[in-house]
Amino acid sequence: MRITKQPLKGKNLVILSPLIVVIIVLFLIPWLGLGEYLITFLILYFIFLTMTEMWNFLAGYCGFFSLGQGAFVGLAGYMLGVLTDFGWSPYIAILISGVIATIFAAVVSKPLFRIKGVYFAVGTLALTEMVRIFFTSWRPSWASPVTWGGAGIPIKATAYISRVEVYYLALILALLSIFSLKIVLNSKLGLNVMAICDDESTALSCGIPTYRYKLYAFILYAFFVGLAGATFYLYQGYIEPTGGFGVSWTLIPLMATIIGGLRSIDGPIAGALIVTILYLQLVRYLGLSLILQGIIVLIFVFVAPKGLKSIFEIIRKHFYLRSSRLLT
Amino acid sequence: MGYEEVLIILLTELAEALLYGCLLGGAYAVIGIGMSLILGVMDVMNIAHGEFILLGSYLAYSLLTTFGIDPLLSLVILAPTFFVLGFLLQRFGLSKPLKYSVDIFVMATLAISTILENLYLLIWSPLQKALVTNYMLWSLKLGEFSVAFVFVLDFFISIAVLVFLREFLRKTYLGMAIRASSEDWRMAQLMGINTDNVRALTFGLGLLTAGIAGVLIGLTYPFSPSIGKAYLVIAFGVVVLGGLGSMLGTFVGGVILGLVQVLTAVFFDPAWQLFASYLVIFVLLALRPKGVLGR
Amino acid sequence: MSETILKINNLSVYYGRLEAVHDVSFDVKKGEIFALIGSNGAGKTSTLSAIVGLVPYRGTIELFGEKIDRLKAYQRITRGLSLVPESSAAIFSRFTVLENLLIGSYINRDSKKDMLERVFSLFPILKERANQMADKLSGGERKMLLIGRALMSNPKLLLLDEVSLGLSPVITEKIYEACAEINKQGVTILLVEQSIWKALEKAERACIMESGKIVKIGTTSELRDEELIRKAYLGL
Repeated sequence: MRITKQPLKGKNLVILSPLIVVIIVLFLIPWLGLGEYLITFLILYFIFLTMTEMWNFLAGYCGFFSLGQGAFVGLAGYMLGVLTDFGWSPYIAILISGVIATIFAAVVSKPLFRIKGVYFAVGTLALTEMVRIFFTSWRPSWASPVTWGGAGIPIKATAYISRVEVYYLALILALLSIFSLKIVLNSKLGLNVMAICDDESTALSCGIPTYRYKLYAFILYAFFVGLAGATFYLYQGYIEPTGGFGVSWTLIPLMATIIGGLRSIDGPIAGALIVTILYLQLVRYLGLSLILQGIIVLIFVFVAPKGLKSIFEIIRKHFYLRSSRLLT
Repeated sequence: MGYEEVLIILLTELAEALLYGCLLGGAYAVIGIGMSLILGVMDVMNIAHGEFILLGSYLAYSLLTTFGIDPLLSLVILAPTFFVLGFLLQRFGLSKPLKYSVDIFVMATLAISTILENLYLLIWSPLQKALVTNYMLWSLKLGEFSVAFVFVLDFFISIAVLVFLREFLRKTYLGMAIRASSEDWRMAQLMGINTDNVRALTFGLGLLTAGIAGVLIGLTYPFSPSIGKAYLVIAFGVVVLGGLGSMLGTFVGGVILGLVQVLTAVFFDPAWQLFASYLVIFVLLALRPKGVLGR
Repeated sequence: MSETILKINNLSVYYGRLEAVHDVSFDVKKGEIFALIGSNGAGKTSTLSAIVGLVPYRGTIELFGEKIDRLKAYQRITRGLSLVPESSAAIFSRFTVLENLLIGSYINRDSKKDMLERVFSLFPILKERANQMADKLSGGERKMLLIGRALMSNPKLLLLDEVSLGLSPVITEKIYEACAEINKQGVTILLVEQSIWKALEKAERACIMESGKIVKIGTTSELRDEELIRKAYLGL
């Protein structure tokens, strides 16, 4: 895999204009009277998109396979619940939840960065489990008897905030996340991190402070994932430990990444779309839905590990060969 | 009560806890050894390891409730089945993802883990199950203490498994092939060792130990589909604490985790026992990522 | 005319875009000692890696008349091939000396006793240190262990990569003596050497490689008489 600096010049401006149109349309959707379902769909889509972009950033560009996305999502969700319980405005609460997730990431980065590759992946899983047990067992002093523990907590703010507001939150979040990734990947941080990902010891010998850059990447990831998680729980209205820290939070971006392709910014856009569709269709059959998601991942692993793009490539090559044979 | 009496009670509790911790540690070592082998030879972790352990528990459960077969006896059927399953799964299933990249392999095993966990939910329900046998309630008298028989059973079966594996790895040609592949798979190929088969063999052994561990733990504690993750983390902890490539290290790692868990349950709060183990793993990771006795 | 046991045809080895070996062809005849000479980066080790099947390549390789290109490395070993790698880190350091040798006879375990005797008579020091951990051996002893281990599979063609690298002249001599003995026992040897002196001294035929291509090939006496060689390498 090569390090490619994504150019920010003339060619992209041409591509940008239809993009601007799309973005404007997205902002106008709630006023177009297209129905509640579309709004819900898009809310979920934007949240999943943000998470996927960030997960892909960490896994594809930085080489950190995080299986523990749940830790940050759940943590942010609980933070949101607690803060809104105490009357904080949901917007500020979301922001603070993101920050808390970031601080948590900074703290655990010390042990986590010591372990590489597959150890890291399982380490993040262990971390998530740890946090899950914490929130299953701990009851704060102010807790009412029917909340906390395994039952989880309600998110009071959901009652006071309209779906449309959540929609805009999610949309802005998704746009911000893509935007920041585009900036980061072209910046010193991005290039350094990719260098570290490709070969850490070489990067070290070039004088790159590897720990610091890894930390920045990880913090960025945690921040956006935290924000996305908090937004999700604002939408859902309650959070409990099993779902909040569940493996779904890893599976969703993972599926979206494997469909859309690792190490790309556009890939998740398509991948998250498919994942959202699946999620909504299957949410009724909870157990079965996860089994199906697992099967889909397996199919992709075997057939197209590079994502849908590789299937298109194969099809294209096939047609190209056939048509060139027609010409000779 | 006088101070002496309180002290004696405390010490007795401590001694019991220590004992139980060590015994449990044996079972944990078996949980971890499968992962250690796979990690050593193939340089990957099977994310579904915990779910395969659970498979052992659940299959033993079904055999028990449907046919009345004692779990330990069912090991005779289950152990070879798991080995063959692991061998075939790696040889004809997971070898392609593994060759592609470690990340893809992890994705595949994560998918398998999810599928298995939810299958268990569907087939056996989220309610806790346990392998209930008449010897579950036995106690052995060891001087002043009485110890639950199952724990002692766990311990000795674990030791047997670890010793068997150690001898296999040291004395047999296949075992040497596994060790050679784990150290340098290119050189191993130059010895004429079919490294594809070695990987399959190792995976088979990994699942074999997982099945055994599943039966052992199923006899000791109740289990439910969500526990798979906890087993995975314990296996991970055993490997991190004990290092790779050393039976003794794995055993010590298991015992450390067992001790932390039991001591926390007895002297602090049972609800936090797993949390304490995880905390220890992380703290040790922060300080010494290479393991206590490791490579 | 001696029969050809190894035939390399138009061998090319690429590492990504880097061409390490370009269109190399040569034969090795039964019972001879053939040297592959060249400085660092000439492509010698890549050639050996291709022969043994550890790197992908273009071209064909015939061993004992059989095209082995589709065979994986561990299958080629069963065809009578064995490699002594250049680096002494190639020993299994967590095995004892004896275990290292035993694993060498993985494919012919039944004759392991005979093979062990043969190795011990060639390298008595290995017998002395049989139960020591292999990583406790000195550089020269490690080389001997590597050669001994490679012999355990009773190969008919032995590939030796830079036998003399990093060793003192005395040890190097000892090892070359052992190689001569091995050759007398009927094993064909293909050895890789940086030192053209040594190569011309020990081998019967040789080819000189430079930047991945063969520059000269022939018997060692022919090569010694070559003008170019005398000027460039021997400084005459």
